Amino acid sequence: MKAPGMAAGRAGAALLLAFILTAALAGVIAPHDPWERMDPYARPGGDHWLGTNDLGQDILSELIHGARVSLLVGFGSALLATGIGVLIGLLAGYFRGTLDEFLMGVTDVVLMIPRIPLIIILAAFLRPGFWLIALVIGCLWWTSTARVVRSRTLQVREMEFVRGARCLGFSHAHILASDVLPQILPVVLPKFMLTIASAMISEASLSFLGLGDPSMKSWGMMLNVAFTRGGFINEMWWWFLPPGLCITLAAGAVVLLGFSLEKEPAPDIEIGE
Amino acid sequence: MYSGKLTVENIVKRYPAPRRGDPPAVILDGISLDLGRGETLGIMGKSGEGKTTLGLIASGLESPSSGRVTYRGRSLREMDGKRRREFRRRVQMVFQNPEASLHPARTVERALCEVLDLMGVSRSERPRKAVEALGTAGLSEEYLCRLPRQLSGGQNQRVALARALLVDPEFLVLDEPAAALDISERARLLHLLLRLQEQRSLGYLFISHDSAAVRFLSHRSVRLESGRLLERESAD
Amino acid sequence: MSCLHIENLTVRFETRSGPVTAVDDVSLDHEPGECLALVGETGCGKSVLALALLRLLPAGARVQGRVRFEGRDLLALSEREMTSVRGREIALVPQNPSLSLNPVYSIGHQIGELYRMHRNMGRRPARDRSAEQLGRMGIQDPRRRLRQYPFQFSEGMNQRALIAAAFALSPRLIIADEPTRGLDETLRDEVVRELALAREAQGTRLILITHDLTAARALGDRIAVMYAGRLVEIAPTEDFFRNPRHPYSRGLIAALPENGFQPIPGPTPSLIKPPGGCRFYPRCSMKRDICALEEPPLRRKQERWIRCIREN
Repeated sequence: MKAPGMAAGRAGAALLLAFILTAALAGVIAPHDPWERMDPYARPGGDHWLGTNDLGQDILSELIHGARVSLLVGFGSALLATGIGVLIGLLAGYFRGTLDEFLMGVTDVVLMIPRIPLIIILAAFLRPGFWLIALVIGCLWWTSTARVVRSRTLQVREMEFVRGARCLGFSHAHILASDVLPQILPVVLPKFMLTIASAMISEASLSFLGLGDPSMKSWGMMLNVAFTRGGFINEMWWWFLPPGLCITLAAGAVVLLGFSLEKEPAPDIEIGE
Repeated sequence: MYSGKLTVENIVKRYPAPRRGDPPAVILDGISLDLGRGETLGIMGKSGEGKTTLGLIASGLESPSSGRVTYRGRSLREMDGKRRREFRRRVQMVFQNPEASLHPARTVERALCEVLDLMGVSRSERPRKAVEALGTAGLSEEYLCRLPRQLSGGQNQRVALARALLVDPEFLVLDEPAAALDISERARLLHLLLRLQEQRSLGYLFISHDSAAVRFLSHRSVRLESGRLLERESAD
Repeated sequence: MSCLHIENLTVRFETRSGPVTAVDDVSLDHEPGECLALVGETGCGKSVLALALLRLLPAGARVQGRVRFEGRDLLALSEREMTSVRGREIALVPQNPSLSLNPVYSIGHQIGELYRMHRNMGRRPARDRSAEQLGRMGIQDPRRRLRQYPFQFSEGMNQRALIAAAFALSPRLIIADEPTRGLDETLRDEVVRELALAREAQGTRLILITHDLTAARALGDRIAVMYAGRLVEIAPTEDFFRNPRHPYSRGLIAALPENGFQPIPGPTPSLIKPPGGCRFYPRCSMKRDICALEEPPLRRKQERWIRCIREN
């Protein structure tokens, strides 16, 4: 299968930008306050473009505000996860030896933890909140990034210019920040994007299962409402289709962008200058 | 008597076997050498025989499985932080692949100024010293703003050499420095190395499979085969 | 007996820094039965020339001129016709052997593919012929080796496998692009020997592209020297080494180990803004004032061609 090229990447970026703007300007764009109760069970049309739910809350407004939560949780947890992953991968790959073995051992243990069940258990004991979800996702989703960063660090470490820098006496911190990190970023960026997508979908799944934060309106919560409060049964598609579509599109946009960032090195012809 | 001497004693380097149950691969099996300032020791041998590993161990970039590296009579392992940093400066390495010797996204000027910064040279002094450094390697000022990919292999090697010289080393471990270069660039690099040795009393560990280059540059040479040193010959 | 005639070949690229003329109006005749060694340093245009002959240049290259081979102009052929020329009539031994072989297929598969594709042979006869070819290149126990993968071969063996592949279909002409690059001395001598033997055994003509003068001397009947995209000297091999005429040729010979590694002063030429006048002028030890203004044409003198004002 041919990998998506620049055009797909740009499409993804544009779509993502649209979602981000929507989330940022939610207060301005949304026609109503998503918490305000008006006519319940209204069909799409007129004042309510996507109708209303059983409490009379405007679904379109919910959708727009929901973008905020979903994107925040997605970005926030991905940022945390990627940060942890890069740190662990760098340290393991650069210093090797005992530190490497220890860190990889930790990675293996974390990989064994079943993630969704853990969140479910945590949610059962603690008050569910979307910060908690973001934190837990961030603390569990870093393993794949750590592995990839470690591999790349191992490679970069052996490159002559890095060896040369060690030879000249630059400190480890300097070499890591100045020589190794820039070589790692092209690998980290796509992974970051994919983690965002994964985090968004995880949050949606958890919210759908009722483990999310009921005080925040995320797309997943909207699906939960549709499921538990009669949207599915009554075939009121405007309750569940829009949020479902948004989740898919947002995750898809991020993934397209991520794939297009996995650049292939272009073949070079020797044209000496 | 030991001042300024770099030695390796009984160096053994093992790598774990690729498959379980196989014995570990012994790349270096008890190598001992010594090198003084102002002289060149050539290390010959076929590709893949461990010459590069020996070079990395001698310059402190890799640790041997057993054996020791000494500088000025002190073993590297026993050195404290200060002495170790001193060692790092005094023993520099020049690598084989010219394209990879320099950071690909940094200009020549930045690569040199980085090192000058490390040496504590003031910001105002740096441009002048950078030009000076290029001059010792036979490159004019106009190369300051170039990127490694805009330079030929020989020019890249010379910039890498200029950089290594900035920290005022006593020994250079040269790992096939001219292998990837064209004829005229190789000639130029070898002559430059010779001149620098005379001017600065540098000791060279010259690793190469090119016997003619080794003869040209070395006072003594040895051959590395199957992890052992075969013969010591003086190239007179 | 067929010949290769290169007529006024020019290759230009658009790069980030401006237009580059990698090959500048090169005309060369490759006589039947001979090995022509095209010699020059990195950036002189020799590899680009080789790729241009086989129409393997990237899309952005603009090629002008004609390349007549067996009565046809290779540059005018359709891509489809060119595909049947490549491998069958003209074969290329590329640089960087390990990178030129597909790591996920066995050596036997890759060589055998040539027989299966171009000669419609079945798997077994293709395998037999491949084993034969490998054996001819001095690889021991070829049948077992056929089943191995490029990573299990050393660099030198991969090089030999590529040469074996090039000779497989007994093409009329083989272009070997830097076959000795990066190889140590022993390997280099072996590769030169294999090429010489294979060439004799099959009567194939060879164009050797290299910066390695030792290999050029061992294999070449004639030496053609390129500098900054232009031909500067063409001479029979022994004449060339005994008495190089062009100042650049002299510089190259002087830089050989046996002559003390004497360097050629001055920087490598830029292909973007080539100096007006003779391209070698900045580095020439025998220059005259007029050299900076006028570039001399390639002139014939008995068996040689030289581009130098001193020869006019």
